[in-house]
Amino acid sequence: MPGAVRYQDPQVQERLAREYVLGTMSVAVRRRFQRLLSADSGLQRQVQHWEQHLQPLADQLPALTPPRAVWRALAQRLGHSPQDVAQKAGRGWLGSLRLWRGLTAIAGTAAFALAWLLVQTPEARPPSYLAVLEGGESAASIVATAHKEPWQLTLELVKAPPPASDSSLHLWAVSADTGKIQSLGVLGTDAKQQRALSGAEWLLIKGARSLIVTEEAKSGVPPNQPVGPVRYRGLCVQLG
Amino acid sequence: MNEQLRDLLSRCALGDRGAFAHLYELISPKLYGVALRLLKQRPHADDVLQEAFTRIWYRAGSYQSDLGNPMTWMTAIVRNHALDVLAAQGRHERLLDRDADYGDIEIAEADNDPEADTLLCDAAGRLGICLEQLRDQHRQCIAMIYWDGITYQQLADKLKKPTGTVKVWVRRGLEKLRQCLEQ
Repeated sequence: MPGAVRYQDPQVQERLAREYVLGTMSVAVRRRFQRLLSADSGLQRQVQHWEQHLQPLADQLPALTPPRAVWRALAQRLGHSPQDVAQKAGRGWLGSLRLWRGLTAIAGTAAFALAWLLVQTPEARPPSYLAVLEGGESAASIVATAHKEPWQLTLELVKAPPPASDSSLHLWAVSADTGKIQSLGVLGTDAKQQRALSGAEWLLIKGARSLIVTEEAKSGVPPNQPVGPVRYRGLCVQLG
Repeated sequence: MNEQLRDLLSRCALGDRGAFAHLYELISPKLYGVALRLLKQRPHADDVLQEAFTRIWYRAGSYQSDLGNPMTWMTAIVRNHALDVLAAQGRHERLLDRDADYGDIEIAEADNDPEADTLLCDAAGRLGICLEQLRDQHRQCIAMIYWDGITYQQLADKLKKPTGTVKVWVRRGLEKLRQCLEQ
């Protein structure tokens, strides 16, 4: 069968796609296949099928945190200011402002958070940290604010359906430096909840990249690591 | 999780840098695990991860959700670039005993990240069941080639079997996998 025609044979296409995704082609064959692939939608579909078939193998590999330098180099290469986003170390006032602007790019949440800030009475103490935790449907759901002097945590359950009767919602801080997840306690059911923070808890919030809320079973000892599914999550932004 | 990744990709396509940072935070540990396993050396894996995320940023608009889940799309970007790098390095001349030189790398906290676990759950189900149903030697061969980017010849040397035999095992394993998925 002549070369170009041979590649139209579905069985040949299937076999080539399989070998390409598995990664067993020689250098020359791989390059030739990539040229064919760019112009053949049938071949592209075959490749996508095999990528999907073998994805569970990739999922079985352990996750490894890449060095921070990769993110910095990436941000620089794309012309993104590292200060625009949540990965940077050290957050000055200007950095916080930029972070805040980064957050406001997320329209629905930002509109809500901004509105939330505007309706606070002028005499209210401004929070030092703010996190707007979104649920799966991307609607603003829980607003967490932390104040200093005295250290205090306020949670407003704006749109947060109660969990199942045999489970409760747990709040966790995800460390910006290590990714470690540490408990900030169990959420109550009141629409607005306020409690004092210990010095250790304050430091957890101060060093947090984001806050997450998981749903955990009520039975047994409260977990020291999240076990249940993540219900809400949001970046932790320093305001002052 | 897939819904969240689709949402982040569509925001990236609109130039939302915050969404890109969030996406990176969420999936870079999984993708770095894939790259490092293939390339064995951190500097190469770092470069591949950076290049892959650059492609993700610029190609986010071309991701079509009806053509597969977002994690598969992004894993393919990483794998394809890593395999191209391996090809450029002349991997056929590489020695297999380099396999373990990433063994001292600490497993990320992301392993305990419930969101990362959700990624796994999303990808399990039927595909995972079909992989489990393969004979051990077939699954092992497929996994070793897929994870480590080795050739049939290298696999045959490692298992001390003829190259033709391991090729047959891989082919039969993949055919059974496809049949199982089409049931």
